[in-house]
Amino acid sequence: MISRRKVKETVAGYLFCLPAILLFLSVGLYSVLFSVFLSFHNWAGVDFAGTARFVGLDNFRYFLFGGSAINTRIFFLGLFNNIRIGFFTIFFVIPIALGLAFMVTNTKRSGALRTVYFLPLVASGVGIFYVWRGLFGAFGFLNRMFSALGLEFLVVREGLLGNPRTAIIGVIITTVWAGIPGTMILYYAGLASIDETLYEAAEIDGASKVKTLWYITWPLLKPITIIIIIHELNKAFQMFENIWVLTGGGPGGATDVVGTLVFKNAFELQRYGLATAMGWSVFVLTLGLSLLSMKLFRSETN
Amino acid sequence: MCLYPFVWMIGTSLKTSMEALNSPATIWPRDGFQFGTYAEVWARLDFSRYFVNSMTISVTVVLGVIAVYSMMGFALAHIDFAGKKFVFVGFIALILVPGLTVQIPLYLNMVALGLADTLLGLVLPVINGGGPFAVFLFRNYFKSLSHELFDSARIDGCKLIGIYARIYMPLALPVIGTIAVFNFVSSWNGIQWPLIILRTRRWYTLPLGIMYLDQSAFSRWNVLMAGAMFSVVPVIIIFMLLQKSYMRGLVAGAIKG
Repeated sequence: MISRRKVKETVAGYLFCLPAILLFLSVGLYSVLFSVFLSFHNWAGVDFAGTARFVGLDNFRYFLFGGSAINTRIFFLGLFNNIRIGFFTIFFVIPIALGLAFMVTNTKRSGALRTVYFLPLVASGVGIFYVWRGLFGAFGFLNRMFSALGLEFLVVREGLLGNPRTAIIGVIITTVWAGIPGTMILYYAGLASIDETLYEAAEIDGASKVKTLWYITWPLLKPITIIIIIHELNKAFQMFENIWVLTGGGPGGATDVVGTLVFKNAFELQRYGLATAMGWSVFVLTLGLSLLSMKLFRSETN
Repeated sequence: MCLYPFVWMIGTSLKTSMEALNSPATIWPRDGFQFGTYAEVWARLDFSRYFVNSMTISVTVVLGVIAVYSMMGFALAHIDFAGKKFVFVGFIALILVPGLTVQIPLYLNMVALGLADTLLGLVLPVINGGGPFAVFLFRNYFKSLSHELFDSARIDGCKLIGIYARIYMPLALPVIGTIAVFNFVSSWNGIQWPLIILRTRRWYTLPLGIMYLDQSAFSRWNVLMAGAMFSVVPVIIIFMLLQKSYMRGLVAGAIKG
């Protein structure tokens, strides 16, 4: 039998959750469901009941399986850019952030230093994206520096972002710069949570610094590293804002990612069904990643 | 490496238009500091309005997220109600749904509700988007506080809402700080959703204002950088003020859970 108290508690519990649930239903869930529905339709954005046409899986066929050869090519190039950006960001961010986290944990009076390191995290917005554009410009800092150092072969005459072959490098530099502080916070929190007595015990046993690092610190940081990798990949797959400001996907589509393609198809070409279908195909990837990470994480912590 | 972009931003904003265009690589202005650019950007180029818009949006988002999700986190941590686990898991699963995919129907939804091109239409989805992270932190944090506090207040005849507002919320200040900084920064810097939902310049946020400058004042880098300064400086100040509490809340909320 359900007690009266339990009923009362349940009512109270839901009342406390009510604002969140209402918002979730009206804004979150509604959009998710409608976007699934939309991905099977051909629609230009006005009067859904009157003009939308059900097309089954045609949207997916169109850009995934060569339904339109050129769009398929563009989509996979975009996806390849997502992957490249994710891979190289992780490759550079993790060692740098880990090193910095060690430094911050092991220095006294690290307050001011910490603020400096975390600046990119909070300030990474439109303003900074324009700074990068300035620094990467034809006569910007980067080119000037290379020619001053006599490294003429590294100078890109159109500017790093102006050349289809090098633009992606510019994008990756900015994602590395912006990704370091967040990663560093996670490592910092991880290092702070390691039990001091473990180190003391190791010291008494006469373990060397390197050995302590390898056998105590690293295993405890491994779960965090997995989270970081997944998080960065997720970010890379959903990337839009920085690319939109830095290159707009150009030059000539060289830095288009799925995010910019979705945006262009929806809000410039009014192909809403197609755009949502593109978004959902990436969702399948990120979902797979998340499930994989949960599994890895479970087996690591057990 | 961390600081250089900021230094360049400040230096360029103080150059004349000619110098900013002709010698972009030098840091310090040769022709004296041109503070007039700031006045021009602030007043004539409407940045005062963008600033007020951005501030209104970010503060509303922060207050909304804290109010809505601290209540939910409290209920999930201490009130024993049927279907609790389902609510929590379902809610956290929202994280997985990709932003851009949902923003298309969300935009159409807002058009249908008459909220397109309004600040409310901009704010509501952003609050909802901040939900999973905030609920996660609040729930874990409230859980780490003793449940005996809850029981004894209950026996003393304290109402649930009173327990939440007068006992648990004051104890949650570190997490509140973390969530405030996090949501303030992300809504302050947000481009994607404002770009979709806002049409008229009257409602533009600072990021949109800067992008608009880029299109209209082509290659006036000093103006662009002065605009950028207006968007960067407030978040830096807020972060510096709340930095300690931000870190503490993050460590407490993430690790203890």
